[in-house]
Amino acid sequence: MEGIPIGRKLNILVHRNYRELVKTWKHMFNTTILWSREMDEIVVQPGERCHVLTYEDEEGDLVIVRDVPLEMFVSTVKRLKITRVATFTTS
Amino acid sequence: MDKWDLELGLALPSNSPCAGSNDDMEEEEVTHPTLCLLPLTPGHSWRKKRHRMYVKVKMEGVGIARKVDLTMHHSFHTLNHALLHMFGKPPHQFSNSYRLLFQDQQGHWLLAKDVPWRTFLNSAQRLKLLRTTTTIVRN
Repeated sequence: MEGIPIGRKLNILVHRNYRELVKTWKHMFNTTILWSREMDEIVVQPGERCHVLTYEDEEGDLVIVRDVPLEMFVSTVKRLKITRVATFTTS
Repeated sequence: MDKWDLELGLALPSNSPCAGSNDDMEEEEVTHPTLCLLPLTPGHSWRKKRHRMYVKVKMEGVGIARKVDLTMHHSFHTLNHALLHMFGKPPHQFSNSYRLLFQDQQGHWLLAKDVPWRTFLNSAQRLKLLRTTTTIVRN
């Protein structure tokens, strides 16, 4: 998780859908997970700690989770990363 | 043979992530494909499941990529509209400030608007949104 130096291990295969996966993530990292498909729907309050779920694919790029069906995600994911919302905004 | 000629086919259950939409995370489940008998409909020799084509999209200045299903779109207009929402950009800013590039099967990056939609659909391997102020330097 961005901002936290210690990683965690997660067995994604035991989850039947994204809802269960998000639930596990929230429990593990105790943060608000934003799940909106369109980023312009996201409203972050000042000082609010919230993150988006991303994963590193086979090409080393950081990609938002949930744009593809779960089965496709499971077959391509190499590493998971919970990223701050600010990372998504234009620099 | 009567009109209900039967054939063996591979079909995914309707709640499978590959068979349905991706809108609600509760609806997707990872299930195993099952063999089932598919009745033929008149005029069709095969029942085909919907083909999807997900490509990665990166926007200059944004640290996280997205994926878009190109088969959900039928023109650059609807695709640009979707990309705009994905990256949280207002309409006027997007159309004037960014240009859409695609990488073809040979690895070349091309300006999307230079080709017809169908050519783009058949060629695009990944997409990139570059600011119009960015100068592209050829090696």
